Amino acid sequence: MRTRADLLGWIGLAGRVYLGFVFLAAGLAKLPEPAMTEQAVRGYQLLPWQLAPAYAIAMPIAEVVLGALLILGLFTRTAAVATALGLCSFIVGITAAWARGLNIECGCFGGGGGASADPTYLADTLRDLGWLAIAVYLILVRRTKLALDDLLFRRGTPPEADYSESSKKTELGSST
Amino acid sequence: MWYVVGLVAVSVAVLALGVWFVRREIRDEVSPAPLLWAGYAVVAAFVVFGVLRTSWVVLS
Repeated sequence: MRTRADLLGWIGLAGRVYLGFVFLAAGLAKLPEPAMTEQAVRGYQLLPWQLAPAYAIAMPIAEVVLGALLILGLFTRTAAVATALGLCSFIVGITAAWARGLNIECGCFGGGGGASADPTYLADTLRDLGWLAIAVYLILVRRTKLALDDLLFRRGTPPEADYSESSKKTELGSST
Repeated sequence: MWYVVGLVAVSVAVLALGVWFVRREIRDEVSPAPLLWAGYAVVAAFVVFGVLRTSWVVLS
């Protein structure tokens, strides 16, 4: 039977898988080229200079891990919170560059960022806001369909509900 | 300047929404309250640090 919770769960599955693949693709694109990623991070002129190399390595790894967790539906809400925080930091980075009049490329999917004559700040910000909306939905919806969470951490049904009539009869039968 | 004002306003709104969210989760007994508040503290620290750093960079 289809209920409202089922519908929200299926929408959650679609959002989870989509956002997961976006993060996985972004992470995998940056992972093999940390020097290019470091260059892109430095282009924003936001982080301290010494932190850029560590961030350039940690960020793609975090994106790959979060993408995998979202696709599998494992620790979904925690992964969604981390994803939302990451997206908020990307939005702040892009808008701060925009506000300061920097002309740089996003570098979100590799490529090293760098100078750009025609930066796409508005499009990048709107795109990240859309992804942020999906992450917030995943935080609020609590359960999504086909998630490993449901398999490993089954919640919501108290033990009494699993106490079937047949098991009651068996227990009573054995005691008499 | 206006960017920083907007950033601080949005961040305060996000932190307030976070309090509402944590209280809802505690009310519905989704997770233990100390765990939820600890998670909120980590997120709030990240947000506050991000706002302070960005504001400093933009204004300097």
